[in-house]
Amino acid sequence: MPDPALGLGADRDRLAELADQAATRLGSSDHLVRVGPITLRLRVIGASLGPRLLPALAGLRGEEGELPAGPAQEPVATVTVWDMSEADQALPSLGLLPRPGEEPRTTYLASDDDATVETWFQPLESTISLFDHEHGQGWFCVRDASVLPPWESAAPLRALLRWALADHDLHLVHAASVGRNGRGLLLAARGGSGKSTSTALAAVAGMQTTGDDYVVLHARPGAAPTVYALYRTVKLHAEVLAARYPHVSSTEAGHGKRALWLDDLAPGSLVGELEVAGVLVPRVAGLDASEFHPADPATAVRGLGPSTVFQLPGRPGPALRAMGALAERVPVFDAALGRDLDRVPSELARLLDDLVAARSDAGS
Amino acid sequence: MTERTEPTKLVVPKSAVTWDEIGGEIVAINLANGHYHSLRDTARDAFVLLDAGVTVAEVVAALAATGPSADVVATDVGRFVADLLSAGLATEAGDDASDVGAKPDPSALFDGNRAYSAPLLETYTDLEDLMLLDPVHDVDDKGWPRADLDA
Repeated sequence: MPDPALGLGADRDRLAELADQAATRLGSSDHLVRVGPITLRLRVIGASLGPRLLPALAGLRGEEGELPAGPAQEPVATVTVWDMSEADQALPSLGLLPRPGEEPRTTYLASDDDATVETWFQPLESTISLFDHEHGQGWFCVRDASVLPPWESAAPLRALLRWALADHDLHLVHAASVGRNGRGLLLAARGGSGKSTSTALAAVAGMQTTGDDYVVLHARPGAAPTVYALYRTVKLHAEVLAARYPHVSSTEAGHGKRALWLDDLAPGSLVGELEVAGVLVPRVAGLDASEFHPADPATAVRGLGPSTVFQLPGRPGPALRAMGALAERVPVFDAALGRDLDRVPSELARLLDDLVAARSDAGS
Repeated sequence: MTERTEPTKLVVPKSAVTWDEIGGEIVAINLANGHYHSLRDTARDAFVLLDAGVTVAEVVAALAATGPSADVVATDVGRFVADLLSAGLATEAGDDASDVGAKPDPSALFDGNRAYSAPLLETYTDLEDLMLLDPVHDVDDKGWPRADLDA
């Protein structure tokens, strides 16, 4: 077994070596992904993993479903991905892996002392993610792409993308957005709150969105808080999908949900960015009509923060501070969603219009 | 038998707890168990003081200076400290921690004009299920864990 004293730098070097060997054997292709103001490069080795990771990425340039391309940019980070089964590679000895006899866990996170290198080993998914912040280089390998769980294809490379984005003050958060005319509402809260269904309904009704489950937040004093699109995915309960959108193709997403592409569900609904006009913490309330009650900023952070921190590995502090900065800049609402789901889009649109108008009045 | 003593000073374990203050309220997240917490008003003040390295006795003195009796504050803060320890938001500082760094000025860390209320740790456990149960897995012939995803 590996010598932990070698540190994660040795793991990085070992993974880079394995990636090079796999690329020599299988070949590779580069793909640029635009996320808000930055561009990332994905280096896909071989043929088996790309089809499972790339389709969900909203800002993939040169692919069907891509967002409107901005000016060409030099990538700020490169993430290399490969299928070790396709490359006929065994699991290497790495310091980031559990020691012999160590109690099995769902997830193994590690970072070196100054958090220059961060790693995430997921036994259940049989994946390893490692990111080197100093050099803007990441690696992702999977035991066997053919058994990659469906949720990895719906929101691929979460850890690596979160780490790469955080270096540019962009924070992956567990939330959805809906909007129009470039301004939107951020919908916080955990699963079961009505967030995904509301997003899908709003998209079908003609509203814009930057994502259903994960969006990229930029919130800093002095700049308009903005959410950017990372994934094209919306995940709906199978029965909701069957009842409302049976014509839309979907894939298994695990946990009783189906994943579909927002641009299949509602062409034109997925946009690259929305300026955040307000934060909603939704809950299914069973009322005749939705009610939006002003709440304090901490309500937004309680809605956004914990579920983001628990679902996404990495240093939580910067993301939490960004959520706090957002919540102190825009109004926050406890959103008690009505039982008539078909009214929800117009109710959200009306609230958004009111917020935009109020801000316009305040500025005039 | 050794008599158990009350902690005199606490530290917030940075590896297990992340927190931020938003609009005068602290949201603290325990990364180990999926619980998160809200600390408002006097609880916010006491937590900020303790995190800054102020001793429990100094926290009691600082809060008592806002009006209530020291006995009442000592009882309330003692309960609050026990709650922080129980929730994993703090651990007892070691003996060598008392003289490390500049001594913080409690009056600079909170609003002494705030009306006193017993500090309360509000705890939310609704995200516990996001902390998935540990899987049981075997290892395949190439060393990878093999888990039953349907289990």
